[in-house]
Amino acid sequence: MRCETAPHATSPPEEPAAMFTQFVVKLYSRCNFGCPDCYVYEHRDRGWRAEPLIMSPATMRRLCVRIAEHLRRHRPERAQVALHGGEPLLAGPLAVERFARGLRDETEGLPTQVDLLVQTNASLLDRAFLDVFRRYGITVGVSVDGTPESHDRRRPDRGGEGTYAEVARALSLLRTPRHRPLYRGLLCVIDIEADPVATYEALLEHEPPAVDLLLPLATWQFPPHRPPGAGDAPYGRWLAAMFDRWFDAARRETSVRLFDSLLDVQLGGTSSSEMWGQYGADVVVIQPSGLIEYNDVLKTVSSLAGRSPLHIAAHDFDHAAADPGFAAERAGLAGLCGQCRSCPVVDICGGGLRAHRHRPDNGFDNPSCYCPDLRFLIDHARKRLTKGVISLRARLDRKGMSA
Amino acid sequence: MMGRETLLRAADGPGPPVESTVQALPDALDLLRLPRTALVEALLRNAGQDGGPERPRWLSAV
Repeated sequence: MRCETAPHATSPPEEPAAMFTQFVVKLYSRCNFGCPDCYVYEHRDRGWRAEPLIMSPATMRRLCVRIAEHLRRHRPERAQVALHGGEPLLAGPLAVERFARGLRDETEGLPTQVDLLVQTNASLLDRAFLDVFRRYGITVGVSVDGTPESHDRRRPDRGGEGTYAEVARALSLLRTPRHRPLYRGLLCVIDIEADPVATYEALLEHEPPAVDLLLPLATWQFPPHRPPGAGDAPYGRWLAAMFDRWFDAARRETSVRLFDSLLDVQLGGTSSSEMWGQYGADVVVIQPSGLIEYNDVLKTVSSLAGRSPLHIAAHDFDHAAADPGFAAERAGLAGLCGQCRSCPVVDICGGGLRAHRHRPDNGFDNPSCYCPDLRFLIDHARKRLTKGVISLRARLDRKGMSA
Repeated sequence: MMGRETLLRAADGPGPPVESTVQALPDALDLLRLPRTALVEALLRNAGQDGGPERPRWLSAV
């Protein structure tokens, strides 16, 4: 049974509010890269083929009004609007500016701080875009997959040529003092064939204020690549090796969201990463046509898993938040399989990313296909955390520094 | 108090005894005197009363 979609007579008390604070805007439906592992174009969903290339000005206006009315109604402290793709910069600086101006105009005076960001492959990033970003306070996350070798193999252009050099060039521009405040960070998909420490150090060369690491999207039906002889938790071991390099630095060199959030959850805080904690992200995706979709990493599950029956022309975001597909992301422990609910670390991993739990015969009623990897990393981080705290205490006591 | 309940709940698995870890958690004032390692930053983030985001951030944007 798919327990997570079972209807509740009343919401469980711990269920978060039915609202969105994260809006993923697909300004453009195509990409100039041909990444073989892309969940938008290379996995199960082909919905992008029916989408217009670019979001029309009328749809942009409607979307900005919808976002503003939702924020006005719920008054969250912060919200995030992410321009995403496809490659969002293919829309061109004028379209980006049109959307940003519309959003800033509609949300002016609201009590909510609206963070506007773009997640880009950076191949088109130039001064014209950066000037628009500066004017409208748009911060920039760049997708780069570690070492030049990994990146070129996994993120080629449409002609099959590596793209590391052009991305590195764009990152050099983004790091200049004039543009550095716009630099949000780097997003890296784990390459299990690459050395984890070399991957981290290659990312550090771009002086990122933050890094996040993504497990390759996979399901029980389409499991992750596991090198022969790598044991039962190769991704956990890979991440633990990178964790140690990051954790043992004399000063923290950058924030790694996956690791910081794991420590935060183990220390009783909340997670900034979808990988940890009990709840999924309160994210809604809007396609260039105005279609409203679920968390679009579900595109890795099946051709329809990301689709909702909703459209911004007919439905506001309150209506969308009440839809069962979005409610599933708020189900918490009640939405997990029995094995997960009885696991001692379920408060930390929350059953893992929802897409990673899927298998065709029983939907999402499974542990993560990365379960051994998550457990390995959780145990490893906890061991380092507890030993580290005891060492810190001893150091403070030795130096007579305790308050 | 910072993380005590969570560390106790997550007591299974490898590592030193949890009770000794809980007793060892330094105060924020002590932490501010130390180099900002990843561990010190994590302890400082979780020493205050401010919560993090109610829901985690979508993973496909940094």
